[in-house]
Amino acid sequence: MSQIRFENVNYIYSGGTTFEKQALKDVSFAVESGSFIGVIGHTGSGKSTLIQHMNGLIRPTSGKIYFHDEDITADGYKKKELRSKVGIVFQYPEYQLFEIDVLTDVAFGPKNLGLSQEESRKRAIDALQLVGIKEEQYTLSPFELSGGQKRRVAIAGVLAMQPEVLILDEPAAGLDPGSRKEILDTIVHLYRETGMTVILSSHSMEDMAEYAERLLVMNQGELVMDGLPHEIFGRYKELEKMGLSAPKMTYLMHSLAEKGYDLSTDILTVSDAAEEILNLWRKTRMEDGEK
Amino acid sequence: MIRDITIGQYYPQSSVIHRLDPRVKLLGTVLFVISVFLIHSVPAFIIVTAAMAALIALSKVPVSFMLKGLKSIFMIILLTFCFSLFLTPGDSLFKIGFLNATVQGLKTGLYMVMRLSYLIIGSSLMTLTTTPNQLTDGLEKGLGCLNRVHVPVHEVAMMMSIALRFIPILLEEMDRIMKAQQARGADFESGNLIQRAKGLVPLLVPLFIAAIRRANDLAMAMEARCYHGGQGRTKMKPLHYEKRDRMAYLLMAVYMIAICVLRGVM
Repeated sequence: MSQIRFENVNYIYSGGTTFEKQALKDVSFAVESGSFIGVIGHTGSGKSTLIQHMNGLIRPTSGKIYFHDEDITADGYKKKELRSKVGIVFQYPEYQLFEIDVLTDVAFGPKNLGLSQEESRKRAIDALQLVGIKEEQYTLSPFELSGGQKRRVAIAGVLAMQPEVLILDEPAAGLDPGSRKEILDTIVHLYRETGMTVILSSHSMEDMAEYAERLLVMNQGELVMDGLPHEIFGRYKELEKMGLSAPKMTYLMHSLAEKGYDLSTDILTVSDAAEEILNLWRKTRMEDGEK
Repeated sequence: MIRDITIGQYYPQSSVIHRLDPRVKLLGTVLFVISVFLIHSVPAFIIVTAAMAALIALSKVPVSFMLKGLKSIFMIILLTFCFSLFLTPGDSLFKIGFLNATVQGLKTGLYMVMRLSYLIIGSSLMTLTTTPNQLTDGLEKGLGCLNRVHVPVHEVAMMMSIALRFIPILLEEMDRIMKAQQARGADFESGNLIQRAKGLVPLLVPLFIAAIRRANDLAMAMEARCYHGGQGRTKMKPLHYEKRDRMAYLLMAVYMIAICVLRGVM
């Protein structure tokens, strides 16, 4: 049984006016529980629209979306419950902070679920620990924190609801390289620690190559590719036509293979590439030695 | 729900009305509003309606778009009608309790309804066919004479265009914050008045912060480009009258004379 399933989902913005735009075209896919999925696509390809469908913030113009085999587009489906199970962290989530201190802000989600003051606080503290915010910062105003810290607090705000699925829209956008790595490492740590499903959208192919187990590629509202990262990046020529690219290592390995070196082209990260090249070097040296 | 707000919205089309000089449209709107309040006879009413219908047809903007603006003031129109109907002294039409509906009241009421809706339709016709930038350009140039009496026309026009430009941006921002807070279980639609007002805090605080942040960024960007008010500033597209603008002025004059004559005669 899949956790989230899209069946022929279409979505049209401002239908019936000159501003009409089809943001999703006949999108179908399924997400298995406990997977780590990356969504890539050019700006305006429908990534964010796709994500917002997953917890019922947007209702599809046509098509069906299932969560645990229950139709969430049906009338009377409990959206609030769904939103506690499918947590979305929006782009620039720090802009939604509003409370007087960090802890109260993170407890906003659980409190909305109808939990007691104590339970909400406990969940908030758990979530803050998961994202690595120190205890002495709990009483600070969210606006006194640095950019990266604010973002982690905002992520904790969604985590405190203890969702089964965590969706992050460009979680590293606009951060410096250091905070960028920290945020992404935090997400991977969360994934391994809690075993929840993680769906991540990003512009960085390097990040996707390193973390995602499966990739969805969006282009002009259509889901054009769905598969393992090395399969998808192997089709880098098609990706380039959509204004996307593959990780640098994919290009390197392909050029080397073209030059006649016996190397695998499925490699995506720098460390794997180094390993593969070293292996080849050792192999050729041994062969030379035998001669 | 937020996207339904049409006040100040521009509807892109290529029509004669869209191409008119904004000064013509501004003066035209003012004259139209005056004419709507001048008339109090059926022939005049027919002329005004015909003029409006012709303008809407010329503008190629769907009528449904015009009427959308009316929806938001429906309650005001209804209240005005009721006040006129029941509070005008005259011959009794029917009675509900102590309320006395009169024939004269019905007449004034109907005129009021007509005037208010024409007022809204007329002004939305202008905003739907003129971009906010054109509008402020028109205002700045049209009211340029006030500069001599030390009214900062350019600054006021600039503030207006910035305010207009910020409406869609802030609406979009609000939409986003609303979704983000809904994703955290916030509820903006149910509960009593106090609960709903409290529910707005998670929406308004980030919205105000966003507005201030944007204003700051904009001020910085303007300063970085050496903005120093209107003095010596030239326009990329200076306004100048074409043949169709002169024609429009002529038609407006004829229209106003007709309205005035009708008012004098009847």
